[in-house]
Amino acid sequence: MNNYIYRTAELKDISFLVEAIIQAEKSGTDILSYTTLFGLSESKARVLLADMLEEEVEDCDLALSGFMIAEYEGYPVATLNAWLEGKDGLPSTTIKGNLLSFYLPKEAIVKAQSLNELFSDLSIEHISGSLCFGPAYVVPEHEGALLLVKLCQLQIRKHSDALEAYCPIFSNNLSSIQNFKLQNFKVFKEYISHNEEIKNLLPSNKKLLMYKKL
Amino acid sequence: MGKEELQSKLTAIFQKTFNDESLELSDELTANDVENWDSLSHMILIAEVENSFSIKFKLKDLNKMRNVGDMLNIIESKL
Repeated sequence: MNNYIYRTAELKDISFLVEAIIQAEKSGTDILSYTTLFGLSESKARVLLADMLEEEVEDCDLALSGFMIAEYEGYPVATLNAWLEGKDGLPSTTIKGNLLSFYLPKEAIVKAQSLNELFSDLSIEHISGSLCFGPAYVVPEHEGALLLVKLCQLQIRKHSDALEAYCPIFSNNLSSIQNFKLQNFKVFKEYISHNEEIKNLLPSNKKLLMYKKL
Repeated sequence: MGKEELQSKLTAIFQKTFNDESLELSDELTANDVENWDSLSHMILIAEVENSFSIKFKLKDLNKMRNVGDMLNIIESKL
């Protein structure tokens, strides 16, 4: 673990962060919500994600400055995003929704409109003032080095004002669940959609909200 | 367009987006007050507003909207 350097993400990391977001969205499956929900090709989704990260907004899934990076021999190999929910008066979902509405092509939004109702059972609450964890990723060659555990510790230290932390994870993402359990996160709430169609649109029809008192 | 007409049109957009005919708007209403106001429904809400009023928000406009009152003011400034 001594060979790793830990730091906040910068603009030069965007291509790695895009890969991280895509892999986190897929949660170990081939299902990418940007494709199934918005009708975008994966390559187009990657371009749009890079554009949105370049905006350098704060405090949401797509906020560049929220990502901490583990670097090995000059290359980013793991990342974990976190932010203080609603820090500047806007929920993270609104900040992300603003980016999506600004960057996504009209036809992508029209497609999402027709599917929106299907997702209501999986809509996660975000508790204002809490530390929220977002996308996490470790390149396969560095799995097992407990990098997410270390990044999680660093994010908690960085946001020392927070009294509680939450992390939404698809239930099939066993490695992420295990990583957060190692940090004493517990399953706080389960969100399940019984609509069969969801299984074609998202990696799982079940999301877990994990919680830890800080 | 008068403020009352604007608010009435916006109310209809909110009710449709959040599938709730009883939803009433106030200037103080925020995303925290409405069930299922997540990133996806927010994106759809913004697109519906832009479509209905034939306007286009800048990203900095969107990030200034703390509540419905802010949204009404920004829409009004673009009409």
